[in-house]
Amino acid sequence: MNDGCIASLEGLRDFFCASSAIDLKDAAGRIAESVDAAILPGTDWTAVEYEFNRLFVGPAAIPAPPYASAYCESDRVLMGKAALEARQLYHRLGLAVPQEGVIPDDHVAYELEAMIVLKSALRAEASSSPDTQALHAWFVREHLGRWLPHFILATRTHASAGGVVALATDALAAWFDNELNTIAASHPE
Amino acid sequence: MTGQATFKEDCMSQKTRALSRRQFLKGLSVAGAASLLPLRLLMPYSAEAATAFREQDFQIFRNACPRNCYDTCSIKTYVKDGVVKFIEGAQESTFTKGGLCVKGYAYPRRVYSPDRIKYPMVQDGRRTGNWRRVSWDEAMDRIAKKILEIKEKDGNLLGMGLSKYSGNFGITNYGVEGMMSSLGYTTRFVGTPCWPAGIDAQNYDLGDMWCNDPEDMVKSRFVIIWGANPAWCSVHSMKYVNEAKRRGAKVVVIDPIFTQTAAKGDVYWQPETSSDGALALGMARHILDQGLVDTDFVNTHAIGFAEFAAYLRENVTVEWASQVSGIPAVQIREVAEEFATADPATIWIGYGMQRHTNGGASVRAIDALVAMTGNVGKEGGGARYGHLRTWGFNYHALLQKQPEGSTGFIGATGPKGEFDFTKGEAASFTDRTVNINKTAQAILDTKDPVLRMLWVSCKNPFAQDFDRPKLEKAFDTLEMVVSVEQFFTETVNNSDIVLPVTTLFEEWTVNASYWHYWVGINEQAITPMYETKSNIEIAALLSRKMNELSPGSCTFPQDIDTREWLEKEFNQGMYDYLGIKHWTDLKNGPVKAKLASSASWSDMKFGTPSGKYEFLSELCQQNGHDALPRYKEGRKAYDEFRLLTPHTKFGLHSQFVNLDWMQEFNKEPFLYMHPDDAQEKKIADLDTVRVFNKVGELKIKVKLTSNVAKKSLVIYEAWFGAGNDFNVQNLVDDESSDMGAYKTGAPGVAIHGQFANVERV
Repeated sequence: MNDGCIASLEGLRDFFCASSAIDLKDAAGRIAESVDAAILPGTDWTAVEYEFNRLFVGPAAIPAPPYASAYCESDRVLMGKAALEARQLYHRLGLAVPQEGVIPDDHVAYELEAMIVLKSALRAEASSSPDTQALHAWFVREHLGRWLPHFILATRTHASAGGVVALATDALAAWFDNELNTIAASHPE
Repeated sequence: MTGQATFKEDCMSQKTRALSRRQFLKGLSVAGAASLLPLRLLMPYSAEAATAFREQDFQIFRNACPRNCYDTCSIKTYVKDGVVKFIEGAQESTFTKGGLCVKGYAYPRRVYSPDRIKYPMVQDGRRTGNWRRVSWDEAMDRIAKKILEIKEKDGNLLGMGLSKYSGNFGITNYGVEGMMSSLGYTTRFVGTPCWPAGIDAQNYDLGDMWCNDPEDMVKSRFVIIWGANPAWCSVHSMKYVNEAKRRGAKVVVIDPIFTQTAAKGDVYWQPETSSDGALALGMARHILDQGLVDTDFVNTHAIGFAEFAAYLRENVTVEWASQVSGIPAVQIREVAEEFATADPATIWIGYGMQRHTNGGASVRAIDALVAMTGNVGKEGGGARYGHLRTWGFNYHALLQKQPEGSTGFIGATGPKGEFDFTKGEAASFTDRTVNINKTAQAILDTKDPVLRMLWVSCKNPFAQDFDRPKLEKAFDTLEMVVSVEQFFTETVNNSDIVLPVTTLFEEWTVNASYWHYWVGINEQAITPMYETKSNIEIAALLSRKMNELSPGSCTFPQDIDTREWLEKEFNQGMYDYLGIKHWTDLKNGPVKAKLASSASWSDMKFGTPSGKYEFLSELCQQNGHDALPRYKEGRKAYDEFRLLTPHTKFGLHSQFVNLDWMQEFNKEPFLYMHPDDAQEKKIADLDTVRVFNKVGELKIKVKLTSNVAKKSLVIYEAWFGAGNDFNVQNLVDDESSDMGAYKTGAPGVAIHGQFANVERV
């Protein structure tokens, strides 16, 4: 756990909640830096924005919804158990999504921010409390583990190869793999 | 499928799943034993309390289905943690009676679909798929500046058009029309593709469209369902048909397609499409010949029967009716006699049968059949078509004033429509009206000034308007298209700006039916998701921006509370009619109007110029039709096969069809054709075929079935959502039906007067 990891998570969070080409450019720059990747010079950021919206926002049907529930329910539907699970986790951290229910609690950006909170807590505590460790392990293994790989696969299937969205998705996948491995090493099931 | 609508069942079944019956009994005996022990620490625990469905665990809200459907269901919505968990039909309404249709149960899938439109967005080039998010403020800024530019350029706002119809019948949604008025005089697409020919017909005959309470169908001794398919499109009405049948009534279903309703009838007639008038007149002639006319009714409460009888004697025979319709003369005689002697007898006139160039004339002939047998004004009788008696709201949202100094169209009478509640106020200027059923042609033809901008709400023109190829060309001439939508339709694809609108669970409104007599409140059950807003909130935002850019340019209130606006829709007349003291009484459940009789026209005071039933209508003649309900031929075939594009079971026009639960059962569209025709065309079951005509073409898989008549092609409308460009409007032109202009502002459209050819690909 280092500052680089937090910075990478912050970049990913900001990327997946971006609402404009400027937001995307800023976040992607930070992601690239944190994973030592390069963004092609001359990238058309408006085109990146179109692709981002086509995949994650709409208005057309989105092939890779950035919400846990879309992958965790028996059907493709939001505000399911995964969203309420995320809400409970935030509550345990003393946090909440503003105006709960307006944007599903299990949007990937909220979950990445909760992860930042958890990891910061783990780092701050001299000998991290078993509670925080357990919460973190549960969040990675039981919650994110159930949907993030599906989300990453859906994104990779529909994103243009070598593009900025693919780069961000690779960074997300790499971070998550690493997180799973770290937990497996320190917290055997 | 274990989604939200089955949540209640899940909860309730958990107990049985956790403990099989055998284990459960064992558990009981142990529990019984425990009760005998002097325990100190453990307390009694009931498995039932922990796992069973408990109503008190939920917040319960009243909702009402606002779709364009006979049934307008009263809904109970169960919310927990701010999430709609499941919905059910309200028990308080004897019409809804605790049940919803397959579409209604899927409502939570609509709110929580990942594919909902969530944010205001702008498309850089129509049909490019290049969308960017914008704030509401930016969206309104672009729209307001365009409106001001049009006013500047043309000196008026007639270049701004509104295309709105029945996508959301919640009364406050008339605020969309109100928003247009609050901006100035604009261009309105008026009329209705749905039922106008029949509305005019009933107005000529009876003086209004006013049907019996559908719940009184149980009293009928003879029921004819003519060109309607309630087993799919009004499922709640079927219980009354079935009960009438159980009590001994005979049920006759007349439809060019052997529908699920037809399967439940005692007699099924599959006449030549659009020959309904001939069939009704043939029956009328036989009733006349047999002396089965209700002489008291035709002499006392009607005018023109002698002329009608003379017409029948001189021009109509049962054999002719049989020849035109294809129904054997012996059957026509038999059903006519049974209908005339049953007391009471009723005919449900469906909207499908009047979607023809002779639709109005056919409805008049059927009305005459009901009237001459004395079944008008009678409980369990009636020529049932629809009504708007429970729609007496204030239309506060609708009635907005134009800004000071607005100029508009001179010489016309302003917007019309069956839902036009403006009561024809006199004004020096009016809106410009064009025919909603010729949207494409109207956009192309309208000049001085041309249409520059179109606002679309509660409507999906690319799925519902006719001649889709022409519509795309027409849209391409518009400088700006704004769509207010919940899902990405073809219309949104052809728009520049899309604004996300709330679902029924996210706004306050009130709903009435055009069929039954219940009125239900629609409460806001959850906070609007994402950045969605209701139609009136959008109007308020636009007003704020307009006034910011050009003070006084919009009169619409800038701050809206949808609950307050709901309250403004009620008046004492409504309260008295519904027998309530205050609208909040509707929070306890829907309420039915206090009817003097379940029969319309029970006092025999008709709304016609004569005050009587008019077999002969001078008004009808003045409006360019026959005074008598004479037979009028349908549209001449212009291709090898008749093409029918009726409603599907899994959608309401283009709504619902895209939802996953619907697609579970209705994965793709099909063409249905008769096996004999297929053999001739060398087409096998499930082949892909090309259906084509003068309008356009579509490729589709075929299913062979003798449920459809020979020489006819049946394709259920409408839109399937992502990844499917199926659209029946590639084959349907905008030919007008005979009637509709009198009461709805524009003639209807001959949706079923269409023809096409087919070949294997």
